[in-house]
Amino acid sequence: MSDTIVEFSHVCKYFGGESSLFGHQKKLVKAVDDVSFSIERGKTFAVIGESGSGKTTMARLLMKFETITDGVITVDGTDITTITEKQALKEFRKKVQIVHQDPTSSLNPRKTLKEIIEEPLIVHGVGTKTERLQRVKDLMDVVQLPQSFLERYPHMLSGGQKQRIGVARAIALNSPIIILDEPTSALDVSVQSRVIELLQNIKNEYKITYFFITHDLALVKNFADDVIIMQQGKLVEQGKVQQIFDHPDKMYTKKLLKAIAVVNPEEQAYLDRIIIEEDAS
Amino acid sequence: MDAKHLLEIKNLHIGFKNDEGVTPTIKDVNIHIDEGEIVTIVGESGSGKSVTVRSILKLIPSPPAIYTQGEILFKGQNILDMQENEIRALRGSEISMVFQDPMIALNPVFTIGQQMENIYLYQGASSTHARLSKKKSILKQEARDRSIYLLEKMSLPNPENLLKMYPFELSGGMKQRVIIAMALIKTPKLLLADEPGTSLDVTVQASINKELKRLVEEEHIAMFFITHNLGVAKQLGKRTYVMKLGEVVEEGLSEDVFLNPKTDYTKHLLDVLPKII
Repeated sequence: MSDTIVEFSHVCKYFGGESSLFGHQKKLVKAVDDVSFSIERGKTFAVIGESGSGKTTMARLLMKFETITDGVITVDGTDITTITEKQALKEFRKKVQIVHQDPTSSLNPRKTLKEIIEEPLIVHGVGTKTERLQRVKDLMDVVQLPQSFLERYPHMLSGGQKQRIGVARAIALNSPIIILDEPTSALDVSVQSRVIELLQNIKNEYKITYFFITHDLALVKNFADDVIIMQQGKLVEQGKVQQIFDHPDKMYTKKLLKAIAVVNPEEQAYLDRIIIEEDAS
Repeated sequence: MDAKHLLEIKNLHIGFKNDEGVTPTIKDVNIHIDEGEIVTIVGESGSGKSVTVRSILKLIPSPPAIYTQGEILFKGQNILDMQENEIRALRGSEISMVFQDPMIALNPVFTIGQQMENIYLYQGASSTHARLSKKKSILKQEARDRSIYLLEKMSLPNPENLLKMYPFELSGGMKQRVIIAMALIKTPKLLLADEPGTSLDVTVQASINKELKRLVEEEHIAMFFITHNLGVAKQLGKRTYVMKLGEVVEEGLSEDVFLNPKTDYTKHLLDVLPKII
């Protein structure tokens, strides 16, 4: 049985197009152009694309940080494009949280780790002071950091540790949907593998749905269930990860797969079987 | 001594001075490269790969950096003993460098053509009023021809037009291609490439690496290629050095290093790499 948690139908987001102060027409940018897909509950849904392909705009639409130009986004059965009331919006925000790309700039340098993780709990009025402290301590255990770190500041941590704090903050509200915006692109490979392992464990334990933005196809192969490939605001191809790797259909997908730099000869052979017809666009 | 290596780093130790004394950063590094060879250096952040390579051109300010021990021999001459003006003569003309971030490596107020011409005419000279080897107009024409040739080789469309453009008019991938062409304009003997594609999209990165490799092979330029991507390292370099915390932990032919790693560290790096099958 398929249980859809997020659905995009014919979603468009355009920037510009209006007249500027002096009457010139501003250039219209179609950041997201007629994109439809659905995400199953508890799955990791990967969005692949290069810079400018609209993947971050989609994440911002999903969080309702941007107003939609056209189309409908439903989360848990509710059409989020119609949410206008402040209280309803706040309720909705509890459902979708995000882990940002750069752990250094996404943590407030003036706050201790305890304050950072506690903040979403305070904003959404969860529990009493002692309950919140207990929750923060539990979260530190979940992301495998010692509780003695709670009084430290972000600059005292390594990149991997900082990203764990970002994860703890995102899961603090027990949100069913977590957006991962290239969570490991700023980390070394050995650190990356540990963060990914952590995310995988959290997902299995708390039945979270991940909206995983990345440009690393090899990572998608290991981590995600379904994938969509974006190019310049348009959806190029979508499907199960295994199927996309085995039978890439579109030219652009093949190019992306070919660009993976692999070490093993077997992996190289696997990629070499993909043939790019030079003439097709 | 071994005269056959183009560049040889022997027992190099570099420390950084801070309040608590000197932190040893590079510990007993031995690296060499021959003419026309492509060698990759891999390691995680903080492994000292960038510091090692930058020390070749003495690009690490000293202080805080202290070259505590060792020598860097380029064509048999120790770079560490050279005066500043001697090193200036090497930079760009004999040994050239491509940096990681293309956005900040170009001067925003000059056109691409002007910047390439300046390097061709004045690189290595002590001032812009230095005596030129030929008539200026001839040199300018040479610079232009060479620029167009290199830009074309880097698969940039319409190079004549590109010379008139300013850096802000170009995309990140185009800028990095221009920077590579710029680094090669004086046909150096050695090119130092410090993660040249890391800030770019994967497909762009793949094609730039391919073009770079082809170009240095054609021009018979030796290249140190720094990367943290083991797959890229294997594809590009004949030989590879693996660095960890300021030391070279493994070296050898890329095939051997990546397919039959000897040290635990290299094995670990390969293990954590996401596999596609």
